[in-house]
Amino acid sequence: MRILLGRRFFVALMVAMVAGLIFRVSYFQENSEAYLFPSIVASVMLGLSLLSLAREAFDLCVDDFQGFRFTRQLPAILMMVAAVSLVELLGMYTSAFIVLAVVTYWYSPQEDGRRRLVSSLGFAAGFSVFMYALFTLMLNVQLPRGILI
Amino acid sequence: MEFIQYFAEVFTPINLMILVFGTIGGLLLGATPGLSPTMAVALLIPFTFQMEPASSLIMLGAVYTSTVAGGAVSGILVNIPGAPANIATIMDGHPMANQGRATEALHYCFISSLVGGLIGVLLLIFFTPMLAELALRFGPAELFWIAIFGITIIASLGGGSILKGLIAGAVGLWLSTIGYNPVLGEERFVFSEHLAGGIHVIAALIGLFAIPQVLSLVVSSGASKGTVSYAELRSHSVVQSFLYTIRRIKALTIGTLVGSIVGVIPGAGGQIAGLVAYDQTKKMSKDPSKFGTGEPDGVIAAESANNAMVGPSLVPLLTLGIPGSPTAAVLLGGLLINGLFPGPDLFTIHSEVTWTFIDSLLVGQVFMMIFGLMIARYSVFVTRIPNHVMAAAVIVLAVFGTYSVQNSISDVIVMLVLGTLMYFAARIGFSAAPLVLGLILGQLTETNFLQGRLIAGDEAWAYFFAGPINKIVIGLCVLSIAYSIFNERRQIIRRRREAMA
Repeated sequence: MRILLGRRFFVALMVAMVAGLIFRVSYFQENSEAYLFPSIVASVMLGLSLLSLAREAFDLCVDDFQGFRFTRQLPAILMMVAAVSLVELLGMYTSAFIVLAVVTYWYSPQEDGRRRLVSSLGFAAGFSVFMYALFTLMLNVQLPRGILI
Repeated sequence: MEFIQYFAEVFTPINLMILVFGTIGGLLLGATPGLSPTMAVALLIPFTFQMEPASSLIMLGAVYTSTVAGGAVSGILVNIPGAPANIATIMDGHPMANQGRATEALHYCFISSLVGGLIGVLLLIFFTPMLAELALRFGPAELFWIAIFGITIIASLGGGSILKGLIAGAVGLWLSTIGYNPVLGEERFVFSEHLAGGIHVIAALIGLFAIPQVLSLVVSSGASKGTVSYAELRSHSVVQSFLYTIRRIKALTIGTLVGSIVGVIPGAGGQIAGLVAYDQTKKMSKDPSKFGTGEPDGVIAAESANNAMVGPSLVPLLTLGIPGSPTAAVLLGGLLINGLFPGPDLFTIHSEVTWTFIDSLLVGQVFMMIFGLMIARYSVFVTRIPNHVMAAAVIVLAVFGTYSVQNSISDVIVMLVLGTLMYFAARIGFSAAPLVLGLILGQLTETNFLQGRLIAGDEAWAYFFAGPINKIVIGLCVLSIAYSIFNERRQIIRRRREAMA
């Protein structure tokens, strides 16, 4: 049987290494009774990931990989991280307004810059008001407050 | 037939108004990501202080029933399940929405919820003493095996590969151990202050489903430059949906049966009813490969199970004071506030209040379907929203929903990290559903495993493997795994034959 060392094999190897790390932190603990269940789970996880590695090596699996365009998703990930980092400084509603405006502006397919900006700001304002009405006025959920609201 | 005697009480103007208000409010709360049925009922308890006992229980019962079904709305339309109970619904519900069949999916959801819900409440009415006796037979060993059975269905939720499904499930189980040991109280794996309280299921649920959805939407927003890329909506008649749902006897029966059994087991957690029903319907289908691509049977089985669970989950609550689900535990608070203590007194001294409440659950199911179908008509507005706008809205809904669970920014950070990692894991063949199921069942499995060991002492082997219920559930576990392996082998052989052809 031929051994295949393609990208699927390397991903399976990475998964096995992560499982090995989890096994290590779960198994080698002082109070073994408190860590009994996670140790069992980590052992099973490691066994399964090694089995998966062997199956990938001998090409016994179906190819279920899909590509991703990291450059397209990176701005969205950074915007989400920025919004959450700003919550305690600016407040929940202000950061929500910013993330709504920036995401809709950045990813809008509209060519006209002015219309794009106006529609993004309009949507951000409208949706922020809806969230305020739902969470603060109707449900009385206490959300972090910042500079403006 | 005491339940007929008090039926008229439900239709007094004040009770009817409360029932309508509770149903509409419950549907809207259920459709809000992060607001689970448990939270919705807890939020409304203060509003019931000034009400008569029967009216306050009608309100809480209506909210309980409709939030379970309402959670499917956000799941089907934007891929964020309103509650863990709705995870199975989105597996086929959201693909249906992407194909322009959102209204149809919502119709199936509410109609099957009605069927499951009605049968569940009828079971509560006619079989309460018998079901209460069954509920009492579940000790730590039986509950441990029930949780293990739940875990075995992970294999078929993983999509293509059983192994990847099982690995994702094991990761979920391991993540559930972060925080405190449920029996010994020792802190484990708290690598950051944000993990001090463990990983909250709702935060993980929102992250694992919503964030990959956001990242997929921003990719497709570029591909559809200048046009609205979300699938065009196809209108669908309610009568057609009704006839179709009623004809799906197998999915309805499996859903209702599974929901009723899971509901009556104390502590099993109603959230797994939909997943178990979905898994069994998929396994018994002539073409399991259709599941996950927009198969109506998936929605019907999951939603009938969710609502069938509601009535039976009240059986151990009303008779023994043991809640069958987390929401039933909050309802217990509602009962106690009104001076009603679970047990035989409820059906003798307080029979008027108890039977009016149970009758209102029956009527509430019908109201839930009527108002749900009305909401389904307006799903056109959601499905026509451009992808970039939808992505922005989902981010904000996810952040607000997660924060409101425990007023904790740590939950929001955990949600974002898990969600982003899940997006990339999904691209290499891992699925979110087994991970969430592992997370949900982790604590139930570990608690019952440790309690069982403490009770059994040196005879743990006999304790966990003896007894008819244990043996039946162990047999089901073996069958479930064997079937999944057989099915995967069949799929691989078929795909290879197709590739060669």
